[in-house]
Amino acid sequence: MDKPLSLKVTKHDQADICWPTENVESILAKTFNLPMGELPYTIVIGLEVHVQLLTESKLFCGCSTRFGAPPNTQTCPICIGMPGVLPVMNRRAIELALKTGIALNCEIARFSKWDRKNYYYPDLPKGYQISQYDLPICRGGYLDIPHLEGNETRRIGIIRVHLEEDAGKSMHDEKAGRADSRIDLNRAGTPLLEIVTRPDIRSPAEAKTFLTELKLLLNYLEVSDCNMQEGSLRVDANINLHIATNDGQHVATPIVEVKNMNSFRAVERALSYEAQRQYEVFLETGRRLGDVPKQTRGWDEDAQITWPQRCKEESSDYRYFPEPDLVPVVITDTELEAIRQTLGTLPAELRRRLQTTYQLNAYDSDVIVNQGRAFVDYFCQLADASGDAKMAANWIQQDVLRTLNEREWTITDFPITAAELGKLLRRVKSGELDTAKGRQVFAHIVDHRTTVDDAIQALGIVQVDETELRQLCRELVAGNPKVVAEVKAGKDKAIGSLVGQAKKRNPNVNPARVKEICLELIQQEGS
Amino acid sequence: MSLSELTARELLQRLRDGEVKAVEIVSHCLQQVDQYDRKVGAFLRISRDRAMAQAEEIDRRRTRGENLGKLAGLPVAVKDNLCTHGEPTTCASRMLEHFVPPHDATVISRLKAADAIIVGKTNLDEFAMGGSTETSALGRTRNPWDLERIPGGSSGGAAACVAARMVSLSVGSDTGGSIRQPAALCGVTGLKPTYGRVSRFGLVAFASSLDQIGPLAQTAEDCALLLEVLAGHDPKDATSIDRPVPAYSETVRQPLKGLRIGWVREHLGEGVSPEVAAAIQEAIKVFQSLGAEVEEVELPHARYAVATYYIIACSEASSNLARYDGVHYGYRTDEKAMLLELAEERRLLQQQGKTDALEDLDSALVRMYRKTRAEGFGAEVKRRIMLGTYALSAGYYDAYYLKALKVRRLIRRDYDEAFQKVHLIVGPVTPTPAFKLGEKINDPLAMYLFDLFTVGSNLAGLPAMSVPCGFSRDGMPIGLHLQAPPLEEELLLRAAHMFQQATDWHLRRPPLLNGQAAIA
Amino acid sequence: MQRTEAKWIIQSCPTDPTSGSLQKVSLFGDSDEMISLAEIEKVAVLARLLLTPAEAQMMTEQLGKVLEYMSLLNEVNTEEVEPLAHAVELTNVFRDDRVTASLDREAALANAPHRDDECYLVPAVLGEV
Repeated sequence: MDKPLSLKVTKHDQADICWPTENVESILAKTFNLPMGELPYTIVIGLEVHVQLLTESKLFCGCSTRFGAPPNTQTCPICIGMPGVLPVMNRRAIELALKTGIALNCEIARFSKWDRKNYYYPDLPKGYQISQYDLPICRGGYLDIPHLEGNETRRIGIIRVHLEEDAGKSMHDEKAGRADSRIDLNRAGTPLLEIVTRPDIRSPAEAKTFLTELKLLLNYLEVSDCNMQEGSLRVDANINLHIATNDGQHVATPIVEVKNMNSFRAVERALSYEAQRQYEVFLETGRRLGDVPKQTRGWDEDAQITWPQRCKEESSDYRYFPEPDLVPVVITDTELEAIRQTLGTLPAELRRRLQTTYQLNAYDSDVIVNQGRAFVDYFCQLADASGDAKMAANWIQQDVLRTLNEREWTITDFPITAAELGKLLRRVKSGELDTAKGRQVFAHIVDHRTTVDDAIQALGIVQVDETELRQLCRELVAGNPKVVAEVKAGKDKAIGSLVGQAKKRNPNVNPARVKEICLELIQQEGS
Repeated sequence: MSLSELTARELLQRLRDGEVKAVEIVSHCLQQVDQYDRKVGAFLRISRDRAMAQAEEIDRRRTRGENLGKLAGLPVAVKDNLCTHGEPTTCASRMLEHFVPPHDATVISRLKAADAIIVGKTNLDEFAMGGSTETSALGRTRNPWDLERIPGGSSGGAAACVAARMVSLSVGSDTGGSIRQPAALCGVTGLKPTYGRVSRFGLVAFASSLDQIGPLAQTAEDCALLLEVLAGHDPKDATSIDRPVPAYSETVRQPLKGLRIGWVREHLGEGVSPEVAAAIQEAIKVFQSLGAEVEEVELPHARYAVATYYIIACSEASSNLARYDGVHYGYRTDEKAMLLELAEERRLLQQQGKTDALEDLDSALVRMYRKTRAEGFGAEVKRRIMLGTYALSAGYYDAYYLKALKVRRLIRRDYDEAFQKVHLIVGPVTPTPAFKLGEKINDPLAMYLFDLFTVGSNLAGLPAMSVPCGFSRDGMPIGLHLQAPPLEEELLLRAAHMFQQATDWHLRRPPLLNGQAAIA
Repeated sequence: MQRTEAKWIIQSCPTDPTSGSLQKVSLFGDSDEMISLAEIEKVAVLARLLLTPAEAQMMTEQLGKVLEYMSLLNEVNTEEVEPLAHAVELTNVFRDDRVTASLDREAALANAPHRDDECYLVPAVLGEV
């Protein structure tokens, strides 16, 4: 038996997210793109994110984690915390935690253990939450997020990632005269991953970007839906300001924890409000970090303000101790490597690839990657099949995406294979079909699920023979000397009238080709 | 010979031979209960009709030649901290007085699969916290050998019902000695398995890293029989050991050659009554006469075992019992009365202008928790919850809980070293025989110190047994403690059986059963 | 019987009261407070218990005695000793991620002291508790 690792208790939370004034200068030095003149303060934000894992069953029992079931229909003696029951760890939850840790560039604990966090609340039936205290499954790490301007990225540090169980829901009955709260334990025992960032975030907008990028990553990993509306992602923020004083020093304001933000936009708004509020409070009171205990404030979506929440001192003594009913987890290099193989290419890397391999710009690659792995795969196949990545990018963002949204399809539902669509794009690119006709064909295939050729036939689009086309053009050039003269004089646009006439004569002509041939003929005529 | 004289093994033999039917056995069992339990108070509840119906069914199946479980037809009593689906499981507490679990403990499932007939739930110290069964809120159990004395605890009921020959087998739980100590005080045989040998799923938790479930019976053989049914890996208990269960009931009768027995000097010196010391020494001589070698061993950290035990047990208990809050099951205080009381308190504080106290006043929810737990729990349970909460609280964790976990490792090391030299360690189970009811109930520390010999094996996770080995001048039973290395239950059972072949202490019956009054 | 226990406690108490990080220790008999009434009251709130003044007083004395006894552990040198949290040191025990039947709502709520047709009911939860 290997020597068991130490159970030394290390102080959690406070040391890690305390920003002593002495560090302010180095923080400011690292902060970039914030012209000193603009804001009278630097905003310092750290996020604590809880995501529900995409397991079928709960963390310690076989109850379903499906969202939306009627209250108290997905519970069992174990998640109700009845006398005599015991928890047993869900293997898949560990795997998803490890995937996340690897993707966030964390140090993975080879020895990890479980702890009880003891407190009383009606939605916590055991009177304790099984979580991880001093030996979390992942430590350190970072997530690079797109910087708000320019092509650089910003690195947001991750302090820790750990696994824990969710509590149930307590609902406050607003009915008149009702003095009771209603407790639903369906959610109790759902696996949660808690992700704590370093206080590296420098603006409310950046906080939103971080959450967006995190969600994208966790969606790609199939770790979590990160859907705030369904509660599969929850976030609390810790925020304070570093304010420059007259003598060139910097002062840190007391840290405030902001809760109850229900969307990414709410996070941005709440933190913007809070930053300004803290500044005003500072101007009024001069209070600094350490002068008062950490305050908790809730975001009120209706009033668009934060307001102070009552926070009893006693509730913060959680009396953590090792969970006796669960045994520790030991992870080997082989296991870790096996999990690493299942990650697939991650969004940041996919964006990079699209930009280098297919020369897409940042915007296009963003849109495509945001649609998910299957969509990216489709794009790549389409780009290869059509031989024109830029064209593929346009068609996929405009035509394909629009259709998917209209019909509420995912890319897997889409009836045109990338290969087939690629064929269509080639025809349009070569001039065989003009863009308008190309779109007609596209629409036809979406509705009737035919091949490109069959669609062309069905639509009665007939390819005009090149010889016939040339003949037509010669006739037009010969019969329109005024237009020819204008073109020779440099008025290129005049060619349009020849194109119009050609279309009248034969609706199947490719206008672009007509234009090309006419111009060619005019040139050949010489000046 | 009356059916209640027979051991489980003998009963099973007669059942198989067709000499007796299950209904006769159960009927006789219920008669014994009727006759003696008013005085002894071993049971909290008896399932008369169900037991008889089950017995009839088993007799029917046996006649039809069907395969039957290992314990088919045998009445078994079960400590009331083991969850029985559809039947109240009270832990002898007001808190769970009306609680009916929707789940069976794994050992209950195993008993049912073995066709045992669970006749009733036995009394215990509240939530298994105690050493005399006196902290039970729902009944009083007396020692069948002297009705004015304690039966021991916390499995007092389970020991007493076997001693009074109401059943031949009972199931108890042992966290710091709660099977072995009442077994010793009641003159029966009891075994605490290696930690993890028997699934804890469905055992209402007291101290998770110490609790184990085990058999009580007249003989080691019967214990072996029952243990074989209870033991085994359970995927619902992450701390259960995944190793095959030996055929204890078969190997128990094989004597041991070359047995080396250890004894600890301090266990026979100060702090142990001379009668107990004498009985243990006689028992050691019996082993010697059977060919065993005896040598002294040391357990240098044994003197710290009680302190270590109580810190760990109470810390874990304070957390395990946090779920009893009146929210989802169990007792809840009278809300109306609670709200009125709270309102009155608030009014008074407002009147007195005590704004700080007003600010700190309990919310309705907190007051509900506090009153529910104050009313639902007895004094000993509250004491242990307070002690555990304190030991885990900020600032004290390192000094108490963490320190205790370290000393625990040292205690385990002592055993590991001692077991390099000997196969078993023997000694007393308790410092004295059973004391009088009420004698120590107001002296918690004295009560805790009574556990000094048994807690070590819980801390170390080792298997241990109590075997009757003598009587005091007062006629009260004395138990011999045997401790073995991990997973050596077979060793314990075989040694105990050897001893029981050479002695007859375990066959003695309480005078109560001969119609004699309690010993003066 | 009392004398036996007293002897045991005297034997067990360390003679050097300054060892270790636990509070001061005094021998059996008259003890300076190991725990104060105020601390008892704080612990009672943490433990969600409501003690009458008499109970609080009794608890202070009884726990005081017990804690005093516990300081015995100060004698033991535990430097370099790893804590033993689990008696049997297993690792990696898991269950598969498979859904099994939940209790139907009635069975789940059957033991609830106060409920409506869907949920457990408790006095209103307002903010933190």
